[in-house]
Amino acid sequence: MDFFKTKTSVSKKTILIIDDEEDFCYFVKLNLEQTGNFEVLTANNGADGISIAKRYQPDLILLDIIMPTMTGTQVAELLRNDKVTKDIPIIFVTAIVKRGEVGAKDYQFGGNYFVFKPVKLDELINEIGSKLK
Amino acid sequence: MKQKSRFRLKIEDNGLILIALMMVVLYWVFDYLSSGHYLTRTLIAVLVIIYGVFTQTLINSRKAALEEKEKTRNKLIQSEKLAALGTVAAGVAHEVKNPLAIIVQGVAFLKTSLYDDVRLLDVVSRIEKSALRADNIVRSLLSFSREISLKMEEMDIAPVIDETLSFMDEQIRHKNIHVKKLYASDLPKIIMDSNQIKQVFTNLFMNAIEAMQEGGILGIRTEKKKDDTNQDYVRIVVSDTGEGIPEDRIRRIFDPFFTTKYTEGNTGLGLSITKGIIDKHHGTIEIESEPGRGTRVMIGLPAGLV
Repeated sequence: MDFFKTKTSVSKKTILIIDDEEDFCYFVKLNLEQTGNFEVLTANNGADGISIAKRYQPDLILLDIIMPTMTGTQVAELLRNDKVTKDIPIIFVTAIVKRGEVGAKDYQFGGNYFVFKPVKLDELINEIGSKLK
Repeated sequence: MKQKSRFRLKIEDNGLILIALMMVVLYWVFDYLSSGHYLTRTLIAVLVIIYGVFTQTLINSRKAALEEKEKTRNKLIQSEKLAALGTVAAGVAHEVKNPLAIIVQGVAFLKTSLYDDVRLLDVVSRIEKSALRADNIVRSLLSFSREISLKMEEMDIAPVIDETLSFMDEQIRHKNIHVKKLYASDLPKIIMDSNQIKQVFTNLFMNAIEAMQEGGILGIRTEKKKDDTNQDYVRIVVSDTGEGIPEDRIRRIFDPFFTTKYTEGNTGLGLSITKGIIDKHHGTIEIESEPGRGTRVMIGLPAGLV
């Protein structure tokens, strides 16, 4: 039984959410952790997000685009230019309405995965699952 | 509108001068020939009739030109309204979607936590439904924002109309509505985004069905026409025998949030969206209605390259 628990804990994926909407981070964390498959870290601004990403090297980052002080695009660029975080897959979770509005830069820095708010939980989990494969 | 000949345009432009000249000539002729002779009188009568016809034609042309100008002005106001709304909608969308995302995620958590409480599950499901409905309204608003790109393909219009109609079979039968289709066999293809055009017909059919609470006839007619520049276009007429729309409301029918129906789920955006889509296809849309008799919506879509 102990062995099983340890194994489950080891297979959990770490997700970092960087979004200035605290309540959104709160609920996504609750929802993802409730599945038992994820451990979730949160940051409400780009600078905190980058330092958490460097320290914990999550398996995947959910990144908002429109944030004060540092945009999601800038955060993605800094993460891609750092050798510790450059390979972490990023999914932009954005309230921007459609792809055309996001801009080419977001594709350039590996952020070519998008989920549009308000995203349903099952869609979000599917998206995360497909990028973690 | 018919193309005017150069001669007619010249007459229109110089009409008042011509009328003045004609009057001088008439006066001169009348004065010179006023001998009371029978033939002279006849000649004067003929000249007066010609003068009358000429003046009337001129007045009619002026009137038509003014109407055309008014129509163009209204179209411009309409498209400016839609453009302004599109800009506002794009800005507001971001602010609205964030709180909606929080509600949807919060509801998802409650749903998994309340899995055995049917009553509370029903409550949170209703909250979720409302949040998604609000999201739909935001999307609808954006669907006539100019930035939305179309996936254009060359297609026949009839299958698009029929497919849309098939989604409404149940309501049509339930309301005792008879569908009368009259499709022309020589229709050219149209370059269109079929999903957007389906949305147009969904809105029109829904309006027609709602207008015929006691049953009636839903007419759909297609025909090939030529426009001012002699280009082919497809005209689609959707008619109903419902309650009709009063004249004062017809004028505002394409205004966003303007509605004649205060039913649940009605946003007053249906015809604004419809017009936005038709505009993006470089088409035309007009509505005629007679209270108590029914409504006719005429759509013109330019033909593709055949």
